Amino acid sequence: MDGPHDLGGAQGFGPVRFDPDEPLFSHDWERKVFGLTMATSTVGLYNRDENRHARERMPADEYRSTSYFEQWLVAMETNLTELGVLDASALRERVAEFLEEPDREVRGKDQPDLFELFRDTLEFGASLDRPAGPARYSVGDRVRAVRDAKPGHTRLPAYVRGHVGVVHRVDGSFVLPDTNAHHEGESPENTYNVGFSAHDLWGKGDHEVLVDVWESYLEPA
Amino acid sequence: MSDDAELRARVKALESLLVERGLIGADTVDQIVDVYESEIGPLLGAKVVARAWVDPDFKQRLLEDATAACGELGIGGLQGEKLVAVENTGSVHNVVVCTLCSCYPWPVLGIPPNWYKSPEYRARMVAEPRTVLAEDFGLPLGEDVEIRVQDSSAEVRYFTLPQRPVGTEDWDEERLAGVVTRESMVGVAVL
Repeated sequence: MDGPHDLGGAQGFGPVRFDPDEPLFSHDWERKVFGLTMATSTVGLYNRDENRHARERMPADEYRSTSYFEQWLVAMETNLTELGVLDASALRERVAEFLEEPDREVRGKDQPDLFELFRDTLEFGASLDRPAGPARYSVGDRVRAVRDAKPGHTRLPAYVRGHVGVVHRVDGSFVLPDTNAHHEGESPENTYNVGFSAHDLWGKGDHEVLVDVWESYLEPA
Repeated sequence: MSDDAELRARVKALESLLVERGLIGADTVDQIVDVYESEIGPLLGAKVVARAWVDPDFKQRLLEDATAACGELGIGGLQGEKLVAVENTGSVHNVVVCTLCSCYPWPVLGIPPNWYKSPEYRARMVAEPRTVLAEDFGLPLGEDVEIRVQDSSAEVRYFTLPQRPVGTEDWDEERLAGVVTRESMVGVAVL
């Protein structure tokens, strides 16, 4: 889908505010959002692609006016209530309670086993590589990124749609986000690193832009 | 944008309900974040780069299969399941971005800094890298330097292998690692 997250080449943005010494988290709530996201994904309450999609389907004006970790918070609230893990009205009531009593601590049982599970995930990763058929394209092939914008989640950046590039690398096969985000199966496909010329993409520039794509995002050119 | 009091309440509400339901522990969130604050960060990537500078065989393995080469140093795992290292030279300069979200090689560089996740960086780096590098990062590249922008849009997580600074020929690996910055491994700085 055309979402507010798909920012490559979007115009109207000013300078990057680069500060090499800024902390990882500006507020304690950001730190908590990061930890909660890692905890709930370690337990497998939702998959990575539906987490991304929950951010991407925020209304565009809301996405643009919220900070990075607030977008992560919205995604957790969306997924945990939509999937029925938490009840939306119970969540609203609990928010109201903490607004009334901002100093109240979160208390409950510890779960050392869950941290051990996280440690395993951290060490061994959560790879989404899965076997698929033989790769349709080879290094050096000219390929065109498909023109259509699919309605749901996808990982094809809009700025390459319809453009012709050259396959630089074949990267193995992985779960397709387009179906996985919607619980429609893993549908593994081969993936490719494809190079596009800036002049072709933007009408100016002398650089090359390399984009990683799933096989169904491409057609022969 | 919501105010901080509201955000704090929303975060506490989520955490308290998840703890009550037994889905996570009261200790879980802090334990997980502590790992990213104390154990994982660009110092790990700096070790990889320094090793590549002193050991040409390792450098070759790194450029051929960064996942395996980093694994030799015990570096890898979550958000680094498939790593690719791209070499910056005097004639080719690579820079890494994720235009769709914030994909980043966590086991090598830690979690991404704010500027990397910012809409400005994500929007502009693919379209006008020469300008962004020169004006926003203070890295003017010569017209003869070829720029390659890598958009991490699928499963590969990228980092750049910067050039070894001149005058460090007699430095040991540990001293070399000390000069390798996060920015030089994303491609927004040279050393």
